[in-house]
Amino acid sequence: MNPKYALFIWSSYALALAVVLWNAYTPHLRRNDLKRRLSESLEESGDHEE
Amino acid sequence: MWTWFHQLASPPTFYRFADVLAPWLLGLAALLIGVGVYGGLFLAPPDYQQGDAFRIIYVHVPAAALSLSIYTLMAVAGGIALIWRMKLAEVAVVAAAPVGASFTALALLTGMLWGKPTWGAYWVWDARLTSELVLLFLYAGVIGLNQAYADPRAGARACAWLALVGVINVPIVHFSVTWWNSLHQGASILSVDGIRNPKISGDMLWPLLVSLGGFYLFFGAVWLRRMQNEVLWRERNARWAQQTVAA
Amino acid sequence: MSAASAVFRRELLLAARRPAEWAQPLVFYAIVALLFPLGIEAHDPALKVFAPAIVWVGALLAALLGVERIFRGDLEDGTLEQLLLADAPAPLLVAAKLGAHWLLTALPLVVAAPFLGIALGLEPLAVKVLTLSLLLGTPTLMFTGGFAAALTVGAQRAGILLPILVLPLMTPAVIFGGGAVRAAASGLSFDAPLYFLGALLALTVTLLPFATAGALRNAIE
Repeated sequence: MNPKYALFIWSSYALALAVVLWNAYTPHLRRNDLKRRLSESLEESGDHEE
Repeated sequence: MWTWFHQLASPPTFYRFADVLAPWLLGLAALLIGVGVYGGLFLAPPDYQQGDAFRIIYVHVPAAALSLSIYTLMAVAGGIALIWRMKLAEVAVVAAAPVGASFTALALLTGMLWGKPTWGAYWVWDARLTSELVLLFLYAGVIGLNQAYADPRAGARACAWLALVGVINVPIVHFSVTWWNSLHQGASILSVDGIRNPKISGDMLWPLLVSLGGFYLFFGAVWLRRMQNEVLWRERNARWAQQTVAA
Repeated sequence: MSAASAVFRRELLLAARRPAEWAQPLVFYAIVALLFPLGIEAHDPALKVFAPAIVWVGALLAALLGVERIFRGDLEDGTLEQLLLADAPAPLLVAAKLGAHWLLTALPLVVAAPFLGIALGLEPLAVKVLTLSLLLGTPTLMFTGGFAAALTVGAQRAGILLPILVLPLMTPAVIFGGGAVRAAASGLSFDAPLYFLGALLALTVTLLPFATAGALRNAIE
């Protein structure tokens, strides 16, 4: 690959990879966070009932 | 077919449906993006004018195409949400915005990285680049508007209105290169002339089409996942949601 | 029709009771435009080059100033609900309200434009085109501002969101407005940008009131 373009090309692909990973992981992390929070509040209200 | 659609509009049915579909979309997307990127970086021949710099096309064009398509889908979902008051459509609007914004930013940044070696400038204030930047601000507006409302349903509907009004920018971005003198290249694929007389040679085109397909499938998977999260949060007091969380 | 004129007259009456409120954008506009000659040397040729942008951005900022207030008062005292419950079509009443707002906030800017243009060193033709571009473009600014205001009036945590929302919607008017004056100043044809401003005017005044009314309805539900 022509060295004078290499930096631009690789930066572009790196940015694309970053965007792909961000889009793939943030919903995943949020889902785990949601599940944890909701099951915690479920336990809490469950304990209160008893 | 309409019963299926109606059933899909029910949050728990949608959640289960998305759980099944998303992994397949993601897997297929990974395959197509991998093949497309590999083809684009290593198999396609260098351009006689731009040399290797043109290879940025294999991430820039999918990003730009998605930035426009996602906004359009957001506007369509917004219309459905407002006309039929469909909860899931509201969720679709709100879930699409961050994804669209990220791809718009990617399109702008990769465009800048492509412009510097080929045009000599990172940025010019021509119609295509300016209208794409406006698109980014519209996405930011949708995201901000949703967060500004305490009631998620009212917030999503406000976003739907913004999406509908802003969608006029999408054809402006697409046709900007025809309507005004622009430094940016004209439409090579998605135009009547582009389909009749192909402007891009086959061995450069196939990785682009594969990459495009892969990115679109990727968006589908991500959208489904984001919608699932939103639905789970909104319906957190419902039995099905509590059962899902406990599982 | 009479409901629309009632809304229109009410806006003017309210403004007459608080003249300072609607004078603010005009004063702000004049200050912004006149600060520039103070910042550069008064006879610097660069002033002439930037004059279209200065006046147009001044108009945009002045429009932004007034926009937040358009619906907030009505939301708080219940007039908004009455507006939306009325027999007359809500988009028509919204248009009447925004039309009155334009008369109060934007028309003074258009009238002041020739003075500012001359003060900033523009040639007579450019001054004429500047005034015409503002006449055509300020309604677009008002109606898009009104739409953005309708979106945020129902939001509890809007903060600085309004300017961010409004910016992408107002940019085309500023681009074409400034472009028309620049073309006139360079001796080029300025028809196209003015036609675009006219098109924007036609689109926003006819279609945006529907979206604005929808957003307002969403705000009170």
